[in-house]
Amino acid sequence: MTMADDKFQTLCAVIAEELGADKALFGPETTAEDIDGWDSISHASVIMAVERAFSIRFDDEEIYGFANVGAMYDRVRALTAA
Amino acid sequence: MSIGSDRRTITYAQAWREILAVRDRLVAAKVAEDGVALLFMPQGWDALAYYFGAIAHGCTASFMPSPSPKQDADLYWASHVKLMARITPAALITTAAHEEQMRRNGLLVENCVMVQAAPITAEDATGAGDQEVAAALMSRRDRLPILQHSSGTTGLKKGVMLSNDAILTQVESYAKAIAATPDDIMVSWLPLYHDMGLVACSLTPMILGQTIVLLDPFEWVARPGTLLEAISRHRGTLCWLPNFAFDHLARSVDISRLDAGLNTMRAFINCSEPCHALTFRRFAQTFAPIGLPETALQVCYAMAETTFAVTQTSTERPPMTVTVDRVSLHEKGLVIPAPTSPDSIELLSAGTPIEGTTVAILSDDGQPVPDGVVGEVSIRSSCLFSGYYRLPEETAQRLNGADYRSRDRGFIWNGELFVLGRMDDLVIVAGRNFHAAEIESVLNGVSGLKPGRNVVFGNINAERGTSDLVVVAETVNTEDAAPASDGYRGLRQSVRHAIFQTLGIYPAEVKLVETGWLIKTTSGKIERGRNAQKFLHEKSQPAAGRV
Repeated sequence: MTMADDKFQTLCAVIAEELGADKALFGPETTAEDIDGWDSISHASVIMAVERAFSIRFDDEEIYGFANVGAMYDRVRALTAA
Repeated sequence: MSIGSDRRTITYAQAWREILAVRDRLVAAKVAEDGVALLFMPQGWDALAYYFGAIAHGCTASFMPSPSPKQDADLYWASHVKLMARITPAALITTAAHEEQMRRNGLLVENCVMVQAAPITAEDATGAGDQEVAAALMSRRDRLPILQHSSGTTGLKKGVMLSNDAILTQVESYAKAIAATPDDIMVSWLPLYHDMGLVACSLTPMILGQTIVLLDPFEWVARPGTLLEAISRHRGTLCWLPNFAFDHLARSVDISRLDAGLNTMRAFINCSEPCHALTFRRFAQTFAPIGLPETALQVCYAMAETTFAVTQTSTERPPMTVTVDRVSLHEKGLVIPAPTSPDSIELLSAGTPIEGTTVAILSDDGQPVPDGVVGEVSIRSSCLFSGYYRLPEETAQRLNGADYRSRDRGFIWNGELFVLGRMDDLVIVAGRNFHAAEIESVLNGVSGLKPGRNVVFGNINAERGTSDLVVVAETVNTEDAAPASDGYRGLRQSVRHAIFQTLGIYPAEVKLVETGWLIKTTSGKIERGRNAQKFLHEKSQPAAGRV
């Protein structure tokens, strides 16, 4: 497993934990539509949990713009590489 | 005195000039003076300028929600066609981004003018129009300047007609109840199309001449701490929130990373969905270290049909609570005080009626019941609405002379009102109202589900401080009802997609079941209450094969 895979697995674990969902349900293509309980309010908690876990801060404008978990991961990777 | 956000601050004098400038635009656009103006605009002062400009022109104005960025805009607008046919608005006031979509989807009915809400410039805002005529028109007490629409997008959406008389009476009475003064500073993220965002957080402070700080709802949801920072920066004193927002703040905001103090706050007022004592405790524990005053957490019971407030707790002391036996309350409708235990429930008072309003609790046959007995909350008020716009039958069902039947369940205890929840199929999620029947009609269009064989209800989620929206639906193919199947996953996603695209909300739980799972009456009608009980019972059972 590569470091990138590790980071992706951590991201999925953080999101799953915040939503009380099974981590196995998450992959790069997963969207809010796939997961019960993932709505605009819980999404804010997800964002904050991800920011805490990776010590990053997303731009306010991008928070609701991620197409899927993979897109969020790309952004996490960019912010943690900085 | 000023109105605005961190992005733009204007004085009341400037606000008035801009309102007159908008009125001039509506005159130039030949908008019928006595028609309805529907506003689909983003949050902010410009939206309020167009709203009051429409009223100053002579229109009845109504804020409407726009689709969220992730909703399918065409689907959203198309679902409004029936509503437009009933309202026949004189003007649709909107942004350039929405205009073409609305035209394409047939919202521009006969005699309706599309007005693009271009920003108001300093040159526009000279206030050259006849100010006295506009002021007199805006304040005539017998006018009906406001239509406050309920949630939803289909024909079920109801427009609550409010007169100036009702609005001004409400503002006067409610100001007394919360000891409001022009020195108060009101901070809000609530959307203007919501009665709490419009009446409590915009109309009332404007009429009282208070300072108003408006935040964008989307920004607040994403960054809840911004509300507390705005309160701190502007020395806010008043803030209205639905119950879920207290939990969202307490759960999401890390005070160690927040540069804010709440010591200026007179009241955070919990309103628009059932209020929970546990929520207040969490909020107080989280924010006491940054100066939240002990008396700041308060409760209001309000609805658009009474302009806004019906009851309010005293801002002088924490609200009353009563701990009662859960079974007696839910099964017998009786309030029996009990010690704290798993069999008891702590309830939060909604306070006493504001001046000019009285509340009675009625039995199923419409007779008043004694204190401590649960029944329907019936309201007599000097700020009642004038009816639902072009819906005489719905008006007659709810408005009986000076009495309004709320369809809320509650009781009186020690002279104060306690509100428990809804009697009908209204599901309140995060302060927004949804008719279960409307959501069920969306499900009827999902391929793979049996039309008419589904049920939607609310289930209280104590952690989130609001109701979860639950969907149970029968599938056409039996194999799609097996949770591990691809069919199940795909169909569940279709259900979530369809509901979100139409109503802008995701259900918290979707359960797909085989034909015959849903309980029906002998006449074949699906019973919402019994099916909700069955769902909750199954959920509480351990999964088969597990210890």
